[in-house]
Amino acid sequence: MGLNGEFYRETTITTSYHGICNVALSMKNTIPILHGPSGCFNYEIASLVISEKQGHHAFTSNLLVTDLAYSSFDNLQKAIIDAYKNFKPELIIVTTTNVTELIASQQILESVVEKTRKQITIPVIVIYGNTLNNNIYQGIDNALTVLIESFAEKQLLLDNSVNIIGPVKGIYNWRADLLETIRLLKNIGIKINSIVPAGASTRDFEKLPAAQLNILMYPYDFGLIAANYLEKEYGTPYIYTIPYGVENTINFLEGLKEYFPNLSKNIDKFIERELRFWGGNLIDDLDISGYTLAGSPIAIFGMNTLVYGLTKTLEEDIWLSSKILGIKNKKSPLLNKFYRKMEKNGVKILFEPSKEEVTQVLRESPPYIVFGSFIEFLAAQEAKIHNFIPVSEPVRYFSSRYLDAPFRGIRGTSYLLHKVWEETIKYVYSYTETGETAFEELEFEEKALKHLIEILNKVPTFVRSKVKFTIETLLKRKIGSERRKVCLADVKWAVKEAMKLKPK
Amino acid sequence: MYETFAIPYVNILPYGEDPFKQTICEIEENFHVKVRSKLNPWRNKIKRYKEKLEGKRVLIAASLGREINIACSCISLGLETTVYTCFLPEIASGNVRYVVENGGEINMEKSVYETLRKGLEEDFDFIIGDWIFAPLALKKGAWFLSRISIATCDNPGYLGILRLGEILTRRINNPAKKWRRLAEKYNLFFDRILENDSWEGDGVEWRVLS
Repeated sequence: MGLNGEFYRETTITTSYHGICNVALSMKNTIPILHGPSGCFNYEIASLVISEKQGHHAFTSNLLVTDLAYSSFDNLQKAIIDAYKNFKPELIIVTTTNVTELIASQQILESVVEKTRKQITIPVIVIYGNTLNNNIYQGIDNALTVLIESFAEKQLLLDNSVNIIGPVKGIYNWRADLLETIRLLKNIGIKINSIVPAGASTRDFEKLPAAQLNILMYPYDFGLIAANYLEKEYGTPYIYTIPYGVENTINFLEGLKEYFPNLSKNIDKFIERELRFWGGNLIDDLDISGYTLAGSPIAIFGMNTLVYGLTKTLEEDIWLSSKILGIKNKKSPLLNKFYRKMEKNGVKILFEPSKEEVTQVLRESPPYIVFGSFIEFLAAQEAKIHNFIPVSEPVRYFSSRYLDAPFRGIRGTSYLLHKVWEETIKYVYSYTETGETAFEELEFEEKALKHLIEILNKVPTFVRSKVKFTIETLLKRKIGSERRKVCLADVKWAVKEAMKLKPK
Repeated sequence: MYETFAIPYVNILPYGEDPFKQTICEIEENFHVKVRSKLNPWRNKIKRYKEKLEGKRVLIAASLGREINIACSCISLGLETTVYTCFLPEIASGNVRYVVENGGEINMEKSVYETLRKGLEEDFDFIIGDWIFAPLALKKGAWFLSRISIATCDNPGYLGILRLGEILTRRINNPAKKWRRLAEKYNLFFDRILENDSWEGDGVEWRVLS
């Protein structure tokens, strides 16, 4: 019997307010205001400082217990006016946290914000988080829909132009993927009308209907509702082919011929050039690494779009074999067929897995390489799999700012092949000891585990994992190489010893 | 040993179905023993692989040191086999006969370019050889097997045939085929050895920002 998973479940993705704030922080002169207490809620948003190497202004309404008791919204109104006066933004987005969703419905929040709208001249948009149900991707989807519905206006059509909907900060590799998409489009003579929300102002949202076509970057996760709205209201069609892998990239470019028949020749020429340049680059390495690695099992963790795209690239172009797919978002109905096919081929698919589930599945059928986020990196270490390639969010400490490393396009396939080959070299030449490590996972007697969980449940949540770690370390030291189960007396001793320790 | 102590030896390498049977016969004759084994399930498995692989073409290049062994197994699996080798020992003469009599082709290789040329001119489903043949295989949409890939197949008797059959049947619909189609459509080059050494683009063209 193990301790992990008995009293907590570590999620692999954050909730919707994070997505809404990421959308706001991706935009020009826009300030998000979180209606909630300062502290933990800010932490996730503050992770952008590390992952995007960028400071930010994310306000909170500094909610206090008394505000909750009296259902007061004074602090929220004050925060909106403060942000307006001090930073002169173009737009303020107000969103909620799970604490405030207990006391304020969307209607109440709207009426509160309505009062402040009279005092300031800029738009203030309320995007209700619904944080207990929705995750970061649904938050982004919600924010995109609300913003597009609020700002888009009828425009004159611009010839050979497209919008790119979806690139947003906090999504792994969004910059490189966006630049690759822009490169593909510009090389065939297509103009970019608007890119939302990354780097967009309210004007960019306003002029969205001027484009002839909408291109969705992450159609299986967010942006689809907004694209449907634009199609219904302004008649702008959209495509959701994603250019992952050689054939999908060709299909993506060929698909544009339908909307831009005058550019057909450009498209044909560009595909040829692309295949000779980046295809050539890919072939140069594929002949050796491809044939060597063919059929190696892999695990991919990320949102629907990423998992679908990477599976296509890695299976069809690099000839690896997916064994585990972890979808961090809710299942996309557009991918039902794909998931059914994968399951039929014996692939294990997990939806919204916890870190413990990820570790367990990696232990049960260890893949050769794990593709995932920082959370899966930790899970892979626990499952003793040392080959890892970062591809998804939460980004945390892996750099996602390198512009020359997209996953999309034929160039992306070439990049992924190089990454896979690097991992292979590490695998072949690593000096890691393969023997059993001294600190194996602890095995508890039933009584001992029950006692420990009772003790840990009395510990405040914010220090619980620290206390658990300390007790575990003490127990491991005590039991050492005896290889026996932890008994009740051991736990009692470790708890006492842990209480003697002083914080460093 | 034979000349000094009159210890008999088997004059064939036990690779491929017929040479293996012949080896068993010779042992039985020389030692007056009956070799008993349960080979039927293995034969059935080989039959199933044979049905799938019948008529597929394989090119076995030199430098492996095990060309004849693998060729015998390929013949037993019903593959159209072409071998290029630079060493044919006397003891393998029975195996060479087995390959040739069953439609195989054995060539003494003068230069590796000769084998490459053969691979370029004709179509093969599988190419077994040194790494120099990998780009050729990709260009022709064939499945390439290096000496590491077939290391487990170099076993005498039915075991080697079974292992080779298992590896090859898995790659009948090989994913490399797509590159042949793309290469023909877009006139792609595949290796500096085979084609020109030109490189397109100035290397900065993709640095197009918004």
